[in-house]
Amino acid sequence: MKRTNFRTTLTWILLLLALVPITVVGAYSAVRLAQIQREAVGFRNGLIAQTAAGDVESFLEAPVVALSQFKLVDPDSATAREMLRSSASSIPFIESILLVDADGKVRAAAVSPDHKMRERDLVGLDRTRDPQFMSARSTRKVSWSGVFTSMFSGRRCIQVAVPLDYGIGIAVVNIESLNAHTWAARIEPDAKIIIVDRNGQMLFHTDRELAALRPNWRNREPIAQAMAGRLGASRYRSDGLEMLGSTAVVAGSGWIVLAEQDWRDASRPIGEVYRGVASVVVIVALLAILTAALFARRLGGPIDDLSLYAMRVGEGDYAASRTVQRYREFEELSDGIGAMAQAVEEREGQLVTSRSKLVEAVAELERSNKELQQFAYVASHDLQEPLRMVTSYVQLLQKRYKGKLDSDADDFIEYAADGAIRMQRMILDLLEYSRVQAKGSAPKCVEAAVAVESAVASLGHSIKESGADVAWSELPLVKADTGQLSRLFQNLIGNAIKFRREGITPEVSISAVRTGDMWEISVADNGIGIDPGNTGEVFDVFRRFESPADYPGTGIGLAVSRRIVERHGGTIRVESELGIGSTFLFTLPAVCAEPDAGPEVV
Amino acid sequence: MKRTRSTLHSAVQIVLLVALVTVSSVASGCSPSAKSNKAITIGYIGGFSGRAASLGIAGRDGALLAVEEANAKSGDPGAPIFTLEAVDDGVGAAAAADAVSALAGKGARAIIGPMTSASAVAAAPVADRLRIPMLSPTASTDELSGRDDYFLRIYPDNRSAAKRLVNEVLREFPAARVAVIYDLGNEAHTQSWANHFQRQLKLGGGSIESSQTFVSGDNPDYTDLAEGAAASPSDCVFLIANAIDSAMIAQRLRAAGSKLPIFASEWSATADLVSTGGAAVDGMVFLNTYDRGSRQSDFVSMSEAFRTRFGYDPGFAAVHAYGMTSMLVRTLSAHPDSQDLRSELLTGQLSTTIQGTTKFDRFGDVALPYYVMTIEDGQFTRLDDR
Repeated sequence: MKRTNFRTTLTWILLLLALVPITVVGAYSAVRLAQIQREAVGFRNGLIAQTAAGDVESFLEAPVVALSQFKLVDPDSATAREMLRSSASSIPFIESILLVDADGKVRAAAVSPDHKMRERDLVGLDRTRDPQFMSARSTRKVSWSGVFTSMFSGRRCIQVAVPLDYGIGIAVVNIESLNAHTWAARIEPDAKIIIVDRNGQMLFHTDRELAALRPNWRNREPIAQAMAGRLGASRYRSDGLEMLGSTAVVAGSGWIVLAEQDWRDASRPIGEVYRGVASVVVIVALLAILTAALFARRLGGPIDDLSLYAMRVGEGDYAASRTVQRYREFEELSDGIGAMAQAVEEREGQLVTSRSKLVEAVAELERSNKELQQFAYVASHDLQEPLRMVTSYVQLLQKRYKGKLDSDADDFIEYAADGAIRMQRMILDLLEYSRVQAKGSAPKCVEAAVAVESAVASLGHSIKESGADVAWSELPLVKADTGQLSRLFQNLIGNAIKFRREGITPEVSISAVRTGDMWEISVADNGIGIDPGNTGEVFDVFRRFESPADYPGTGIGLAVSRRIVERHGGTIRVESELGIGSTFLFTLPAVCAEPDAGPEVV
Repeated sequence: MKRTRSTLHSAVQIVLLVALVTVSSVASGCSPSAKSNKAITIGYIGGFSGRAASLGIAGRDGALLAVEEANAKSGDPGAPIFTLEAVDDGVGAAAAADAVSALAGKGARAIIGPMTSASAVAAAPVADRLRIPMLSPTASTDELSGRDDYFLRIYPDNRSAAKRLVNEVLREFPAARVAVIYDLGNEAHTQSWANHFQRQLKLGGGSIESSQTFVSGDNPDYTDLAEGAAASPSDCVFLIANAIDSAMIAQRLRAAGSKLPIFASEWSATADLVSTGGAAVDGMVFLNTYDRGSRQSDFVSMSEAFRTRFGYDPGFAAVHAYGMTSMLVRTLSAHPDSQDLRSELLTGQLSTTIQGTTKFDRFGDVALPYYVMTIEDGQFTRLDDR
């Protein structure tokens, strides 16, 4: 498992805890502010446009009002002429006024003092093909012309026609004074205001040089939208710049007022907020790093101390010095490690003592066992000769003096001879038992079946005599002392035949199964069985549960069998039921590779 | 301690990266996008103020339409992008000369304009000195005719126009006696017009019975002018004046009871003539250098595009400015890096106007066809195709 660095993790967590909220809040604030700013600029532009449109409308309304006063005045009267002259001279933006009858003939006229035209040239003119005259006459509504350049003044003018009772009043209005109109100075420094006529030709622009070129902005997005009847705020690109603009229409003339602002200027506060947020993020990040570093140092230092202390304790330096911790929790942890070290040290001392005693005990046991084995071997071996002598002489006494002494003597001699023979038998068995350990050959890989066959051959007489049926399935290759393995099978098969039930043909079945790293070999019979309460003692030396008269033997066979199995690193046990039979199961390490099996550890 | 430094180092890197991304994203909003197309500036000189403003604005609009169409049609990534840099010379002819220098300083490869003869005469020497082709759509002065200079024009000179109009007068009135009224406010145009008219008329057997002048915008006495003409033993009246002045004189002439036929130069032939002149201008005869009633597809589509773009109908100034600018952008597109643009325009280059094809002569002048027009019930109609 890949371990992460505590300090790195801590730093990351602190950074994220610091940066995520400030970034989220900052981003949200910036986006929201941009939206609010956009709405505010749009609203302000809309207000500017509508105000300007209202002002222009008022400006254009003045000549309409001036003409309307002639509604009921006889155009041929002196009053009319006086009023005309008064209007033309007192209203500075009116260049000329014509009172036209319903037939299109100019009945009276007046021009402004600076107008380079004679009034008499105007009276009597035919205006029947004047579009404004025709419109006003047919609709009885005020009609405005497009913007044109006056041939007389060279100024940009519009012409307005107002229905009167007897005909139409027509005025030519100089609109260049719009440039000096007060609303032009009221607009925001960053905002631009543009007025175009109904054809899209520019009448006014905050940039006077641009306005002087009189460009046609008919195809500019907000103007085109307004001409299509779609007024209001919009965001668009103009000359490669992103603009926010609002439009309003001047009633009557159809002029369009556009108040627009470069989005870069409008968004400057937003940019400042962006930069502020970015700066705050960077500062917070740096502070977070510093905090993380300090925090990691505060936390990491004690942890490093404790880690080092624990490492030294782990290496056995229980007396290692430890730093006094600033924080209670770390001090408690340090105390805990110290207490643990002390406990470990004490237990380790006890363990050393115990181990020392154990080693001594084991050595003593090994020595004792060896001596015992040596003793048993020596005793059993060396006792044979004097015992054979005792047996021989007791048998000689029995042979020579049987019937020559009294009957008790014969019995005594017979008892002595039987005892000597039995003792000789037991000593031989004991010698065999001790030889398992002392005289065994080195184990090697052998076929278990071969050992079984050898045992069966050795028991040929008993098998034949008893009619026993000894069968075995496929048996494994095992690492064993061949002679002892054969002896093991011989003991178990021999017991099966010996302890057969009366009238029942002995049946012995030998098989093997793999259980983990061991082979478990079973030898099952259908003999008299063993009381399950005695199965734990059946492998003891000279332990018998049946009468020697019924089943001769010393009771050494199963003890030898257990010793053989244990010498090979296995165990032996018995499962039995009285009157049914017994199954002896012993294990041997599976360390030999089977000829047809895969690779096996040997 | 090593671990602390490593952690601190990586954290600082992260913060710097975040800061860099933040600053970049903020800054990227201000980055202009790069353009790969070559930008070519075309200058324009015309009056946007003063009495010639209508002519100047109409010419500028015609030139602008041609530039916008050229840019819109240019699908080739490497094709040049044209911009029209306009300068107002409405304050006087001297302004036109300054405008040539100003436009040359701004990198203009050629200039469309000036729109009046007076300005053209003043600006032509500067264009020659700066070796910048100056293509006028409407200047007609004879002073620049037959000169191997940088002044090129599409509008015929006054001599040819006078000759053509005199033919029309003589066709109507053999040995015609004519009362001439002309505007000295545009003397560069009108004086030579009047002189050529008189000369051609005399050559054709006609005579000038009266010759009156006035200055437009300077308190002209239209009644006196009209009555003077009416009182002369003339067969007809010839006007060399703008539309309003022509309309006013025609009105006063009819008011004085005169039924003398009126002839006029193309200068008069605008919509203002009809709206101001009323029935008095019906029957007036004049020459046009374009057929305003043409059904030729190029002209119809140009007229429609112009109306859509600018909201009014194109007059002769707009039509000729459009045609001349179209020819110029075609030449510049074919030879964007030419060091001798004038030669490219003149030699072997067939210049296509919107109403046919023609060529500059070696002096950069052309001979456009004339269309004889009249007004019937307030409508301009062709007289020569009947």
